Amino acid sequence: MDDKASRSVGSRRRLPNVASIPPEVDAVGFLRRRLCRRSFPSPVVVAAVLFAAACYGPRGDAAEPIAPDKFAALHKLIQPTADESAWLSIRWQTDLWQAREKAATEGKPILLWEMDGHPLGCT
Amino acid sequence: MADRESTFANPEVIKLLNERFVAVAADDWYERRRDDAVGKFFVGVAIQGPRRGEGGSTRQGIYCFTASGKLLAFRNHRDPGVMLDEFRRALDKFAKLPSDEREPGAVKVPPLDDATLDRQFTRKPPEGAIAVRVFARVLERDEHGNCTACTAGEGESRRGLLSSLDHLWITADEWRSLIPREAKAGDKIAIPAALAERIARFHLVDNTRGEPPMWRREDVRKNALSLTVVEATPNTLKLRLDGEVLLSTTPDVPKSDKIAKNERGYDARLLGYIDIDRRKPAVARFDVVALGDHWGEGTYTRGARPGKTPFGIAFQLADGKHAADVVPPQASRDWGGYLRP
Repeated sequence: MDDKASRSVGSRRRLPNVASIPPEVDAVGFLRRRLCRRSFPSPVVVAAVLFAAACYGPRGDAAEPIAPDKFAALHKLIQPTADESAWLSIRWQTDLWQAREKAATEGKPILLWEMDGHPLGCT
Repeated sequence: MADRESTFANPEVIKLLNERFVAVAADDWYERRRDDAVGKFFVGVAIQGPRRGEGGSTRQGIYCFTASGKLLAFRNHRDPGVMLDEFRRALDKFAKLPSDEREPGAVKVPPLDDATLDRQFTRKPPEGAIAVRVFARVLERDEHGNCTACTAGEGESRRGLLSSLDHLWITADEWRSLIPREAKAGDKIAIPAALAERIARFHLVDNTRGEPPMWRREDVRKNALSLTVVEATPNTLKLRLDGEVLLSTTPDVPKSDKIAKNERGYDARLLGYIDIDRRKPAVARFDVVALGDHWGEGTYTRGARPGKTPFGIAFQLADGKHAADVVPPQASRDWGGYLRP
């Protein structure tokens, strides 16, 4: 799947071109100048703001659109392979009472696969 | 999930179950709570084994029993060899029972009156609703940045790497609302708000490692789905779905290397194609993909990859060919909340 769509999912939204930012507004210089000014908030506030910015950026890394020409391959990729679907070749019943009736009619024992979260769904 | 790729993927087990047993699968969350004939029958079987359900605890496991309710075997083990032995022992026990316990037609099962079922703990799709299979898979990017399926190394567990399965129910009113009386290419069609929210909160979840936490209403930071008419003929309506969804347990989206414990999110785009047969009318196709980065894990989905990692979800109309197609959505345990999220 050498596709633009899946490549784009991994990419991040582009930041402004650094070359277009004047040197006088670079972050280090800006902070140095601001820290020298009496009106600047305390270093603790600055540190908190920088930390928050580092942890929670603007939504600049949002997912990008899926290319229509790659849709079918992605749709298939996410679905189970034949190897992963072997368990579905068992003729499962999903109603215990109906299974009971069928077992009585056919003279067979019942096997019940009971899980917290339906074994044929949920996960 | 683990049993799917171990015991129930084993060719000998599959053959044995299809030939010698009636196999049934059920959600213990419902079965152990049901206050009706089905629930009482199940509990009557379970208490003959180790799962006595004290304090309402789980009764999950694999049971073998007769139509009359006599327990033959119980085990909850992931080794197919161990389980095969257990199944064979159950068959031996069955063969030694008196004929009125095992001969075809010998056990009389009373008919079940639907009106007596415990509605609180049974789920059936609303009249006219359609079911959609919902698969999910963790993905990775190759050296070119393309998404591929994750694979386990030799001898490593494939836990969390397989495609998961759940089901989306769309009510008759909802899918019928997608069919305008007049339509031409380029027209926009509104998606019912309840359906859009149901998809986002209950079906854009990472259930690849276990029972997933659903998204709370406040976790839906963005849910922009749009439907556009691609083609409209007297017989067919072809729609394209585009979407952008941001789900996050925190108001601000963390960067990939700064995700705190208990933070979860999914930032995805959706693309899909929905075809309507206008003559019947019926939904003929419901193929949708969600693709983006997921982060975090839930109480029962531990073991997520660190940071933000690619995660895909695929929707496909259920054609009724799989027994699993009738299984209710996991989130429908909260029935009212599922239909009107």
